Amino acid sequence: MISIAAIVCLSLILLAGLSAALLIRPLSAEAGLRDMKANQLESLGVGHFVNCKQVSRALADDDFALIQSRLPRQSSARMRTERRALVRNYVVQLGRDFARIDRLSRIVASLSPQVDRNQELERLRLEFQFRFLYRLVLIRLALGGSLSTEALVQLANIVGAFARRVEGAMTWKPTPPLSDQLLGA
Amino acid sequence: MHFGLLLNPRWIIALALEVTLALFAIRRGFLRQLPIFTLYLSLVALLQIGYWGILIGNGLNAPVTFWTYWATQGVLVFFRGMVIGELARRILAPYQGVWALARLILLVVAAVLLGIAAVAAYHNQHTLIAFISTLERGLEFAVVGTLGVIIAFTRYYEIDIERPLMLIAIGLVFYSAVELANSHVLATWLKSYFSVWAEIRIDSFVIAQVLWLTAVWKPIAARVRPAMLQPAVYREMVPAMNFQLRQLNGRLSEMLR
Repeated sequence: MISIAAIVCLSLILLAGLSAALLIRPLSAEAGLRDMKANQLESLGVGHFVNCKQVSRALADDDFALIQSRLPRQSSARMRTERRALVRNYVVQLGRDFARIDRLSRIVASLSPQVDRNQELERLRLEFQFRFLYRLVLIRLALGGSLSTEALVQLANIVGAFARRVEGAMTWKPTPPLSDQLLGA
Repeated sequence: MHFGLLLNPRWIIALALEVTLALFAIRRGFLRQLPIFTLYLSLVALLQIGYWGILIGNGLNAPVTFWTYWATQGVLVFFRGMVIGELARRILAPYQGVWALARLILLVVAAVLLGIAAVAAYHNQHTLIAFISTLERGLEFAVVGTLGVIIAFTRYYEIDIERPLMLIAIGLVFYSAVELANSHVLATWLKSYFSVWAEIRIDSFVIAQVLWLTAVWKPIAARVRPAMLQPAVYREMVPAMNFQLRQLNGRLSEMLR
């Protein structure tokens, strides 16, 4: 009886530890931004998504199939490894961009006189989800799995749109009331 | 009269520290910046002096000494809870949006933890000490839990905590955590542990007081309100950002299929 209880307890502790590692522990990119002040962060560009076209070109399946058919097996294996490393590096850079954007969005929330409870809870949930999925993607790449370049481009576009939203908000200015504008000039 | 208790150097040091700390806090102007904390420190010293008077007059085993001790502990736990509220207000209130959100969550967390404490004490009424120690454990847990939520909020929204406030919070958490562990052991090994428990309680409170003394060493600066953004920035940006984040997660999920 005691051994069953001990196994259940140990399993629960392991499960809690694993969940904390996957969901709550910040990404290494997020931890790296901790020491930066908010005003320094604002000046940092969020630009890795811009390079996505070049990366997707380098990873294009058609090109790879053509090169693979013409190269010796050893060289094509090396190319596959390098290709995977490139994808991994790119995903890591996207995670870094996400971390910057996420931090800015938290700062915007903290400096807002009114915050919406539902939106804040949703962002918290989405952050946990992102960390979890991001880590799964990296694990998959580490285990030798592949990712489609199309999905990668879409992912980059989303981070890009996300970044533009934040940058727009940081330079936001109120629209002057109608009476202050020149009408019929 | 039971003057023998006055010969215990630990108790004398603890009382001297309590009085010094309260006077220091008042002198450094903490009464204006953190009135409840200063009141708590003053109450600790005053109640301790009152308790000593009863202890010397009636002895350690008299019922009046027992009830006075637990009544003073009840008052002090209540004021520790109030100090937590004051700390939360001081740290988070300048951030109006976050404060409105945190206030609600903190009230719910505190209410739930206090409810759990009351239920646990109600179900543990076989001896008086067991009832009191269960209630106290629950209350200390509520103090630690509520403070934990406040710290989680400051970490998430990257709100700086002033050094004196951080020292006060660490002192509160340290003392409540020791009390929590202590009363758990007391509940398990009750009588044989009682004298050790009393010693640990005094020592942990002395350590907490040393932290608080460091906190009140210099006057605390007046609170500075950060420059806030227009409400429309949040209204326009955050829902759209959450939408983007949902898409991002959706795409990551697709990549894993």
